Amino acid sequence: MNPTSIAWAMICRHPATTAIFVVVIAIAVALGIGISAQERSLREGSAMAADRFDLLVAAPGNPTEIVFNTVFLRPSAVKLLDPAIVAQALTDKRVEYAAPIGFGDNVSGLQVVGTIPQFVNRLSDGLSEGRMFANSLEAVVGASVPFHMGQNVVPLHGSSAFEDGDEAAGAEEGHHHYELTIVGRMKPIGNPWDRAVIVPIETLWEAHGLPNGHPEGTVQVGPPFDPSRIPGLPAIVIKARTFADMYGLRDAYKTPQSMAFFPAEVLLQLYDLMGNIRQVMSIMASVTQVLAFLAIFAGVFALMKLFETQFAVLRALGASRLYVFLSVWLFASAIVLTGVVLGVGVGYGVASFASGLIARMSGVKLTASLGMDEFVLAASGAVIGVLLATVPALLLYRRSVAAFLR
Amino acid sequence: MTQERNGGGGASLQLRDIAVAFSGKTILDVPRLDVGEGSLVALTGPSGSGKTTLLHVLAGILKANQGSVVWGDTDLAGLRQSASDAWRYSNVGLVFQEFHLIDQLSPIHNVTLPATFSNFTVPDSLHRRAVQLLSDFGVPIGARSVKTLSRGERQRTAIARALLLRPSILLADEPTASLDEESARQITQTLTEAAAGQTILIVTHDPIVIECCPRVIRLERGKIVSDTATLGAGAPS
Ligand SMILES: Nc1ncnc2c1ncn2[C@@H]1O[C@H](COP(=O)(O)OP(=O)(O)OP(=O)(O)O)[C@@H](O)[C@H]1O
Ligand SMILES: [Mg+2]
Repeated sequence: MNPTSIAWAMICRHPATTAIFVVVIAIAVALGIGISAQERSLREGSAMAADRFDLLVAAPGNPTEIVFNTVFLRPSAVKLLDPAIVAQALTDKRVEYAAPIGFGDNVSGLQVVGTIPQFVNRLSDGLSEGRMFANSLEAVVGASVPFHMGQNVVPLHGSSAFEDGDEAAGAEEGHHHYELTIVGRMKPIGNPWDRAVIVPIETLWEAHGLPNGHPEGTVQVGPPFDPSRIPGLPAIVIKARTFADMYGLRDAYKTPQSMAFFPAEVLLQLYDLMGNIRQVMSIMASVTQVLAFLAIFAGVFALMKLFETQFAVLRALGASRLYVFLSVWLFASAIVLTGVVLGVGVGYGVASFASGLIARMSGVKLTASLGMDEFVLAASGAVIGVLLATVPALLLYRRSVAAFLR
Repeated sequence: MTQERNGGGGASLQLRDIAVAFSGKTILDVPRLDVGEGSLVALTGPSGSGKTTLLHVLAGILKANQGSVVWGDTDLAGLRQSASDAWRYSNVGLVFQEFHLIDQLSPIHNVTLPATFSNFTVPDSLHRRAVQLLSDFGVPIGARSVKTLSRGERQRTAIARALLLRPSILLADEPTASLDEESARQITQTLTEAAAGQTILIVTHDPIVIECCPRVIRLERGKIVSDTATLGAGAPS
């Protein structure tokens, strides 16, 4: 038994209608797949971006804001961490490193971020080009910064993070312009730091007329720091020596003057929110899907009226009822499956496009991919469709033959 | 699956006390009709007299309200739906008044279609037979779709389809309706020659067809009003 030529003839007889059915199913499926893939892409991308920011310590406030500041480099005015806490963290024995993070200046629209060599190495796992900055007039750039090695650039003072609170008043006259030489380039890390100019934290402190963390007159980059000469900071990234220390440190820096948290905690909250949004959108997508299936079901049913005579003829020629059932089912299933496959492709395409767009805007590397969730979504759509396809097939299967041969 | 059954031979018919009624109105009332193996019978009568209905009963498409239809040693009344389908597939070739070809398929695909009812791929022997029948009938084999064929060519394609599996019974419903005299003659010749040995019943108003049939049965208002043998062959009992 081989009803494919009949199913094919049905498609050929109503190509436009068939195409519309396929497109409607594809759109409904694409919606669900797109939402699902895009949400995962955002989740995985942001998790990757925050991966190497182990523990964040900042002045009490909104942790989300700190994550956006330090991980995603979307600076906003935040309160500075108390210098005493900074000093304590930078000299803590339980840390493998405590990386001060400072920002606020920019070069041709690129963020200038101050930190220590250890953290640059942690982010980039070795440089792709050049070497690490060795003094406060050198800088390392992110992978996608268009500067070349040896280029000299002059940063502009932005609304610096160092200018809030008490320090703002006296800061202005302390500013001095400085020139940086680009000496190295990080590997791509899929994070907005790819677009940043990274300098020693000392550079920023000095540029803002603050003590540079080392004894007066000393030229040094990175730890050890002199606790008595450490200014305030927007945030510190801490990597503990041991797993146990990580939680110890977090608890230790949860004080009235500071908060300490893992970026993952903040991201989880964001995912929660995203999950809720997704749920709402998924419900909308599901409703669309149900409507699409109903519309097509009605359409196929109407179409079957047009095929009644043809099937009566087949039966009269000796085709079994199963043959007729299978040809209708094949026809409807072909529509459903083509629509689902097309929908998966379109959904993936839309998610890839959206991810690319967001990545370009934010600098967070996002890659849309199809995973188990999308597979289950598509498969359940296909299964429901294929099951629904049996209904018109069954209805036709039961028709009396003679009545339609008149 | 059997592809060429009955060796091209015919089957005899014994019909008893058949009555068909639609919503209380009797459409067909035939107490007795016998047709011998290999007979060629014309079934005629005015429009609405029940010719198509009788053909459907003979093909097992329509179940009579009462009576029995026995072909050879098969009683159609005793067959369940699936058995009746299988019997029709193996024994009956049908030609419809409106051809009922599948427009989207080529002539060759239309003719080999019945082979796909039981096979996944059309056996070579049947494919060759289809090509043979179509070329014998003068149907352009290369045509992409039967839509482009002339009326006569379409009718002959439909006849080829009915003959593909060498059915022992051939039932044709007005195969020459709306054809010109020349085409009608051709079709009749095609039918009678190609189906030699098979039991053939042709519903017709066409004198050309009637002329070729040794036996002519006339229906009026669902009843057989005359049954005449014009030649010696296939005479009624
Ligand atoms: N399903 C049905 N319901 C009601 N009446 C029917 C049905 N099928 C057939 N009839 C009636 O039965 C009668 C016989 O119909 P049939 O088609 O057998 O006539 P016919 O002799 O083939 O006519 P024609 O030469 O016009 O084809 C007609 O009056 C028709 O209206
Ligand atoms: Mg008729």
